[in-house]
Amino acid sequence: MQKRVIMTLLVIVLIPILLLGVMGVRMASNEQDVIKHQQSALYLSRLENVDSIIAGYFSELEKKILADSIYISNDIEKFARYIKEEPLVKNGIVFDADGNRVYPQNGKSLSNKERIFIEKSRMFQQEALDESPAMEQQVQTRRTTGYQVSKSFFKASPAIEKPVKYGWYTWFSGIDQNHIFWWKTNDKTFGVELFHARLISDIIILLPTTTDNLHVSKFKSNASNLGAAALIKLIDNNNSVIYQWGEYIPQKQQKYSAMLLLENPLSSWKLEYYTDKKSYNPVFNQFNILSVLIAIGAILGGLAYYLYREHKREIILGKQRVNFVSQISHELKTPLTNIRMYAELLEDQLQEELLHEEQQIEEQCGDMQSLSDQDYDSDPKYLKHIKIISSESQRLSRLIANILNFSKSTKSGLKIHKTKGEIDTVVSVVISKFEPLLIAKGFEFDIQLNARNAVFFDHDALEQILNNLLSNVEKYAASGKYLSISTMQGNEYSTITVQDKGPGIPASEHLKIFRPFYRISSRLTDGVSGTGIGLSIAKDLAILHGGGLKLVSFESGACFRLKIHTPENPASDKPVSEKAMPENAIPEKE
Amino acid sequence: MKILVAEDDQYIREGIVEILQTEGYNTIIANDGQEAIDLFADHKPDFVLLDIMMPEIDGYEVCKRIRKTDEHIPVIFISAKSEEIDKVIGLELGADDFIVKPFGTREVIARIRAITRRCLAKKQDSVETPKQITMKDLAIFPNELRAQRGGKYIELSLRDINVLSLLFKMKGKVVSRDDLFNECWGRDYLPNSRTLDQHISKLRKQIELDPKDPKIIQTVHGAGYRFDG
Repeated sequence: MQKRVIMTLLVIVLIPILLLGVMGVRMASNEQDVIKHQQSALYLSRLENVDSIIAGYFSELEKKILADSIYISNDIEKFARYIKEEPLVKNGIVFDADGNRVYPQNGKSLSNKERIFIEKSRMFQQEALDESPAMEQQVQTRRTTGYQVSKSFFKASPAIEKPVKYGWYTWFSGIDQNHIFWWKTNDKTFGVELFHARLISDIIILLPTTTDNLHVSKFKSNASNLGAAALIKLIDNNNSVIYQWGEYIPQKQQKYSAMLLLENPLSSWKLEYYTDKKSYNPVFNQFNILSVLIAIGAILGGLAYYLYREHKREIILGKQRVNFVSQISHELKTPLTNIRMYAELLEDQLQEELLHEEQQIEEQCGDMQSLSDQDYDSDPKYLKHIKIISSESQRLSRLIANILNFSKSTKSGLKIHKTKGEIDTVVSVVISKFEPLLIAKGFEFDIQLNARNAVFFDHDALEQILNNLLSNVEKYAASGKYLSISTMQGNEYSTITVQDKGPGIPASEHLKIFRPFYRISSRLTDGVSGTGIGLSIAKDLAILHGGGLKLVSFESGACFRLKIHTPENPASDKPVSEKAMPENAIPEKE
Repeated sequence: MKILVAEDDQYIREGIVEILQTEGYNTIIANDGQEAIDLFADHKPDFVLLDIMMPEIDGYEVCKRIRKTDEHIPVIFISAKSEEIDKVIGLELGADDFIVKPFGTREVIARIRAITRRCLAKKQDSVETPKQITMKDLAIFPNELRAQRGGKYIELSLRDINVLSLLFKMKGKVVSRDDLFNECWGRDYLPNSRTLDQHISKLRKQIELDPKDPKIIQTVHGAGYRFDG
């Protein structure tokens, strides 16, 4: 019993904790994914910010050169001067529509620098004339802009010839990267080579020195760890770091947290974002889940412990009550003995006196009508009163015996103690106890006793069973005014049948009446005192005695048949189990 | 016959003593276990009634100590507990019977008579009491506390047997009330004519065919009683 309660409570406590744990872990991993996603989005957005700075720079550069191109495109002299004087520009080249080089002029002797450039840019020249896709794709929108236009090389002059197309051309010669900005007018193609080092240093100047100002406010609110130290690297086509900024010092061979390839003309360059990997793990959340689980576990555990304690206390209280009742019942026995004994002594004395008086009267008055054969009703009143006291004290004795037997059966179980005797003797004793009461209520008796063999049985148990049965007859079947008791003796078993002609017991109650504390609720039983344990004890005792007690169908009233195991010698005092010896083994006699 | 009664509850003790005296026994009264042991040694009773729950020394212990001096003395336990364990312990100690509270006078009488029969049966050889005496159509078996008429048994008390034995012994002679008192009630017993007459009335009801016209116990007015033989 106790174990089952503990198991139930454990299940009640553990199942919610397990469910919460699983849900918590899943939620945490989901949250971790979300945070990771948010983080990489943030890192990427930071890199995009940087990229937009670089793109902005190039965009401004394009604008500036395009603005200049308007003034220099139709005059080679101006273009030549531009090449020489513009600090950003290293070299220049111009073709006409037929692919003939216009600048540097074909016929003229070339300077060393020009020769190297022409040699170097042969690929560009080829592709520019072929209108290859490599040239076309250069026309595209920048990701971001937002820089102030730097001062134009040419301050005034109206636009004469706008470029039709423009773009960047980048190529490698060895490990060096070369950038050409080109544009096309209606009849010519222009290209200017820019100083790589100058571009880089310009870009570096534009780039921030710390990562702080890159924080994007919208991520701050729900990802507190994003403020962690970071490092951004600008890496060129040779995989060498051109520039890096930020407080974070990455470990050796640490992989970047985010990476972004730059756009043309630095298309083979990339930005890498480094930050502490550990800041990915939402340790704080796991800790949260764990602490919530512990808290819930503690609360449930506490509740379970409280319930267990309450339950245990209830059980102890129940036991104490049973003990108390049994203690009280024991204490009642001594005063009850005195009441009963002295009532009987008084009854005997009164009867003796009465008898003596009668005999004296007899002796004196000769043949006066006999008084001694009179029945109880014509007894003097005091004798009747004392008989009531003595019969009621016997009733009280039976009640106490029932209570004690019941508390014993719940505590340690009843026991049967068989001694040799006659069934009929015990039956007669019980009948004689009830006789006065029943006669007073106008009962008729039909008593057939046929169990005179000396056998082994528990006298007290049999007496108590019969007490309970007859007490019920007296209480509930008084209207029938009829009691039949018959005893029969079989080989190993004895049967006692108690039958009345009272109102009987409804079929639906046939089994219930043997349950402890069960009382049929009807007009019949209302107002009749009773504990509801009599039949339950009687049945328990009968079963314990290797037999059974059952209510057999009978045309009117109730008929109880008691069967008990009554061996003729104590050696065979091993009651055949109930299953092996069903109650109806003795043929029913109706 | 002497019976030692050890019981701590005054009223139960007095009630039992009254029952026993009415039955015709001499009683020795002990209020607790120690007194019971002391009185047992002094008076050598024929059997003992012992309450189990007594202060100082309980009934079990008293029984053990008594059994050390007299192995065969019959012991009846008076118990408030009908628990199995009590009976088992009691029987291990060699208890001859149990009277379980709450008991009535008839139960006490029945058990005491049963023990008395056993005691008398043992004594039978040594004591000169006859096995059977016959008064008119009534056969009396003094050692069995029983009489028989026709096929019917009549249960008698020790006192009844004593009264009938005395009348039988003095067959044809008048037995005075004082003699009856001295012989059957004992010299210590305060003579009370009512007690004697009531007892005779009761006995007549039991043994006479017609108590109004007694044949066995005849009244001799002013003198006493007589059995004519």
